Amino acid sequence: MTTASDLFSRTAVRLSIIFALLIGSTVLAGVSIIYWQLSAGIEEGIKERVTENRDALAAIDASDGFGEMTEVINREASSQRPTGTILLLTDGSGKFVAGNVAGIATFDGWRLIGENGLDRVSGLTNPDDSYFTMWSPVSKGMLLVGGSDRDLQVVQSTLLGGLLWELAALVILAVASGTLVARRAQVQIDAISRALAAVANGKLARRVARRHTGDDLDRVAEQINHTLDQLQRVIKRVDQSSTDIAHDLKRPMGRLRQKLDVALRTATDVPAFRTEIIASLEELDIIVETFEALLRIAQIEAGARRERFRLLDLRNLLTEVTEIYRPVVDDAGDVLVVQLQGFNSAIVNGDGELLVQLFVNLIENAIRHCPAGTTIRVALHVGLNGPRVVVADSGPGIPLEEREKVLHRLYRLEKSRSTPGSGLGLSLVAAIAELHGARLTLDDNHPGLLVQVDFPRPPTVAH
Amino acid sequence: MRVLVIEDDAETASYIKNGLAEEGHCVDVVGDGRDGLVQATTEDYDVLIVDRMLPGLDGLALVRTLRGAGKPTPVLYLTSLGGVNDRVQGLEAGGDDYVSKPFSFAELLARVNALGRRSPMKGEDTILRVADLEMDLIRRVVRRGGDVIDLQPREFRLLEVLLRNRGKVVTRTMLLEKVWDFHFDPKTSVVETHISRLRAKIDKPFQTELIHTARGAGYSVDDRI
Repeated sequence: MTTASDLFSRTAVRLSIIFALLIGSTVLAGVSIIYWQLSAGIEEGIKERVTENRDALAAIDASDGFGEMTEVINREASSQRPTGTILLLTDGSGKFVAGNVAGIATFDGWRLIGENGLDRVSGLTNPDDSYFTMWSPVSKGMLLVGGSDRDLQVVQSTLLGGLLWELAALVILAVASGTLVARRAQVQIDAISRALAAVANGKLARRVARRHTGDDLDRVAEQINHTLDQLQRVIKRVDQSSTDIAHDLKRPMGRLRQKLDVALRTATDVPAFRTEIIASLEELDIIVETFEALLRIAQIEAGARRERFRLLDLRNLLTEVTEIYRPVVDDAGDVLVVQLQGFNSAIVNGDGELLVQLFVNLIENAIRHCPAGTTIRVALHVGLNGPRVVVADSGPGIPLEEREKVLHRLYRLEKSRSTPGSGLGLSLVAAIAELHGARLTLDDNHPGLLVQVDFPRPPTVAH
Repeated sequence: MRVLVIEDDAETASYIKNGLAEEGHCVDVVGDGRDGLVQATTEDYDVLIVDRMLPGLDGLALVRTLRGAGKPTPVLYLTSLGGVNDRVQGLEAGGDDYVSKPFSFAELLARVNALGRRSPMKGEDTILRVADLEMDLIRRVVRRGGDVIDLQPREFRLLEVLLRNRGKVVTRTMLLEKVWDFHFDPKTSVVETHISRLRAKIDKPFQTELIHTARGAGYSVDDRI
């Protein structure tokens, strides 16, 4: 369950709050300007109305006399509807003559007087109102005219109230949507972390449950699942090869133990001991050889040899290898056919020592896994895409479904279990081919095995 | 020969020391790279056996320093690294040969003997001889008892390597490296096949055999029977 502080720490929520504050302050600033301008305008209007009232009364005073003005003021003051105007006429000594308020001392300019500060003589009152007031001299005294600020109050409270609601709504909306987004993301993130935790605990088959919304988190989940697939494959392969190594080493170890045991139990003289010890050493050598081959493959796969690559002519290299192996093939009762004709250069960028080992392994495999009388063909073709080397035999071949597997470390065909070897020959070939960017293909030679190695053209050599 | 073994694993060191002593060599052992360098520089040895991974100063740096100081003593590396690059690095640093652990004593002995400064036929000889067999390296001609023997280039090279180490065992691995430049262990009898072809030309038509098989070790060319 997500707690409030948890929720607040999420980016989406934080962002939505910041967003709300930003918009809120912008709106506040905008509305403040409008507020002050509008207030100033309305205040101006009220004062204008007050001045007009004063001018109208002063005009009566001037044309019809003080008495007539007093009459008008009295009529106004006794009005039963709210006029929003306060009036006070005093005589020369400052005594009340007419008006709806009393007891206000004279002052210069404008003054805002609250309803509470007024001594009401008549008229309806509104305790919240204030009045913009001014004293003006008339023929026989002083005249105070004031106008209510009600209009101003209405506009101001409308503006302020509206703004507050707007701000509140904005903040609530932003926070709520941010929280919603954060919660949605959280569900997905929780699913991802649960899946990863399960994988870390050994449940390698666990995957992130996808929602297929296509959003970025869903794409992340897809990528994580893809990575986990790869990881599972790699781990499975590592597991498999450790099992294979253990399995393949157990047999020579077992034989070694038997030999030492036999020597201990039955050998009584030095020659008998020697025989068993020599046999034991041979078993040990097989074990060491397997380890060396594994290390060699690992080092080749690590790619450090690439630094020593040089331009080599595969035709020279194959000529040499086939010359070295012709007597070996002859002695095995097989036939070696070498086809290295052609004029195109068979230059590759590579490691001569390793390439020799690659071809030697292929030729030796053909010699060792085929019955006498087999034809072994070594051919070189130089095509547009680069040199292709073929080593083919007319032996028993490799069944289609096993061709992929024989490239794996320590994999041996069931029928070849009886012949000595580590089961690493072809995986070494595959590792060397890969180091050279060459494509290794196993195919049917009808009958027999056809191994094809397609080398890339070295970039520095023009076709 | 005087041999200095610079090896920190006491068991391996004494295995080498006892074995070489049995063969009549005079062996000193040092277990630390720095001490080894001092000893190798100040004393006069015929062969140095240097472990690649040493406390104090590693084998590569030791040999580089030694060569920098102008000391030409032949160096045989011992290593458990066994990797494809290690040999090249070792030789580039100024070493002369290389044996990976675990090794057979016969292999080590053969290589120490081949490296020794008192090797009878080294570098500048142009004619190699044993008994009535003669190899002219400049004219590329081999004669036995006056008869010219026609050898293919690789057979010539094989015989040359054996002759240069006359009277000493050359192991199968040494032949693979020196004759065919194979730095791996072939699964077929490629060495045996070529030796047998060479024997057919060098020994078969004649009274005495010159190419001998040292069982479990390798081959040697010698006029002793």
